[in-house]
Amino acid sequence: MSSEKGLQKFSLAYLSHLASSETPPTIVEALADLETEAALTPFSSDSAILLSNFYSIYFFALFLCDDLNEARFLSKRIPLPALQSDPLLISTYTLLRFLYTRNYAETYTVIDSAPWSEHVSPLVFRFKDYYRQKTAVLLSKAYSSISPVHAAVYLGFKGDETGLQEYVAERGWLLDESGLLKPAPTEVEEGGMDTDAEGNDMRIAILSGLVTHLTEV
Amino acid sequence: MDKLIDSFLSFPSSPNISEAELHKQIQNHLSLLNRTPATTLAYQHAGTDVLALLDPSVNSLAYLYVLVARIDLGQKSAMEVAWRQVITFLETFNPKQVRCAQDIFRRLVDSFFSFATENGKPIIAVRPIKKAILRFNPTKFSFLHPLFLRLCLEAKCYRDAAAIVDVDLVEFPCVTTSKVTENARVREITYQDVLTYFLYAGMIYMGIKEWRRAADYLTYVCPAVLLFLWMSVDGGSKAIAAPGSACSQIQIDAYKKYILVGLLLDGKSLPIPRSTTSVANRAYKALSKPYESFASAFKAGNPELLRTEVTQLVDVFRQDNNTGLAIQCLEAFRRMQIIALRDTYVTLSTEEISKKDLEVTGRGGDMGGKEGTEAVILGMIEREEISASLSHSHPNPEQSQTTVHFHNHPVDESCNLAALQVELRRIMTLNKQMKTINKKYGMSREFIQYMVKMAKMSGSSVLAGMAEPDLMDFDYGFSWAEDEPEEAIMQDFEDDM
Repeated sequence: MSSEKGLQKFSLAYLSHLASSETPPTIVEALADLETEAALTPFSSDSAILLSNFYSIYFFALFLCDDLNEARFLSKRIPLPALQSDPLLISTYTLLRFLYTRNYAETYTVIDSAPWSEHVSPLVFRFKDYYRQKTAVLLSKAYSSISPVHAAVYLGFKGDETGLQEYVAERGWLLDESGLLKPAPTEVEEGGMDTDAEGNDMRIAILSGLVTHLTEV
Repeated sequence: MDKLIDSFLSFPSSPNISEAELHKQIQNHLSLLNRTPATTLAYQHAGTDVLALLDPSVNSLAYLYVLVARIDLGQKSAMEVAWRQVITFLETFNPKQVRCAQDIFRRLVDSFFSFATENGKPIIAVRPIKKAILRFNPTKFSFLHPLFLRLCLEAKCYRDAAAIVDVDLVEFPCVTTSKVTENARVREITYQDVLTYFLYAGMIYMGIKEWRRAADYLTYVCPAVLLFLWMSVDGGSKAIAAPGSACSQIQIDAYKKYILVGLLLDGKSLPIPRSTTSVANRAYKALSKPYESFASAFKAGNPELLRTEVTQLVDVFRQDNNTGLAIQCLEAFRRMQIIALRDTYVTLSTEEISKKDLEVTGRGGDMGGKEGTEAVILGMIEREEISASLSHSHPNPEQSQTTVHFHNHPVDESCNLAALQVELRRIMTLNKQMKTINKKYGMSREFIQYMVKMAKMSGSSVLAGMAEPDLMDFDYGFSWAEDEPEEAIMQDFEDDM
């Protein structure tokens, strides 16, 4: 029955719905269930659009889950001729290679210039924002001072000085008198040493659970 | 036939019947299914497909028997027609019913596995078998475990595999007298199956670069540390240590990978656990000499020596299918040497680091240059392999120099805390599971018989033997043996797969 449902779900409309309104882990789970159908569908002129969108959305959902390893394995599950001939898949695969080798400059170039389909575009926008934000957090952690030229490359503002200045100003970065950017320290996120009441309650609950467990052992 | 279909559909009589009643009905239903010839089960009747009338989640046993009958009679061609129904079944079956027909279930899964792999599409079996494992008790080892990981490795589905290997196994199946005599076709799970599973699990973790877990799983394969309480056919019990004093090919392969994983994890060979016999230890060393010398060159920290060593070992790594791991070791070499610089320097420019010529992968380009070095350090900071910060000296990249400031404080306390919490949760869960298993196996007929035998041999009473804390560390009294009927004990014992 699930495979019959799979056949109904294996459509552009469903993929489009997933890409525009579901969370990345949900998309990954849904597409993993449909991958059998995709693997059994031969690449032809009739199926190319559906398959390339399917795999492209799958890749972007994995990028958004920070699972580049699985994205790399997914690229090995796709028939090589399709990966080398379909424009959408070529772009997605190129992006994967740049992400994997941490080539920031080329990553943004591919994101901005590749011919993304209307079905994949919502995820591409989400990913660009996510990637930029993630990189900004990393730069805050890694650099005590960084040249604006490098920051522009890392954050995808090459040739857009105003864009860079606005973006970093929002995050509290300062430009010192020597012309270098001083990244502001990032706030500790979930799971960290947060000091709000909810976090304290959680820690107390964990501690009491541990103590209860130790008394039982 | 209509009567037969009515019987299929009338089982179980109601979804809300008691466990005991369900068990009774399952036995009656199995008796009917076993009596019915395969030809009667397999073919369509009056133009109606029996499987279309059955709900695999409710009439699981009948659905299973009809599928297996068709596959037995039709061989490969039958599977080509029925594989979608097999997927539907694996994703929806009722585990309580299927547990009672494990031999038939295994035949179905084996046929499906062969069909998927022989057709070069292992991926079609990955998700259904994963769901089947999760429908049973995933903490108990079953024949599905090694089969599933092999499928995942062939299909390159590491994410699905990780979801299963992340669940710690705490129980291994027992072969009881009754099961074997009732159905001689039940194929026992051997310790080689378990070793294979651990090796595959190690390979899965290597694929997703979780070196600590990979090393743990390979540790289970390499030395003689596995100790299974394996209930034997004669009702007694024997402990099987894997592998004893000899080494199997599985273990040699695992040991070679273990050396490389150790380099990736700690920059040196991990120690062989003490429980390994001296004979096995010598065999490992003799059969893995090239790997040992690679590890020595890595540990020495001399890039030139490592380059020379790699040139000589390229073919060895290729033959052993360890090229990917070896390349990752070479990448890790530079990272570990950079970490080692922390002991000598407080600050150092990326240019000075690049002059140390630590890039040994031979990829060329800018990898070994100062920009390549900066990118490597940025990656290390992101993965929290090092506590350091970078700073540029000038806004113009042409005139700028990047300095690395090594920090003394630990990487990130919040991450350490989160990791500690994860470990605590894992240990607490394991502890609870071990208590349950202790209780369950302590109440089994086999264990009690073993204790009686031991007590007779030592000339003391059963209870005296049981009271030995080393033998039976229970947190409850001994009144259970008199309070509970034997059948209830056995039912509990065979409760899950």
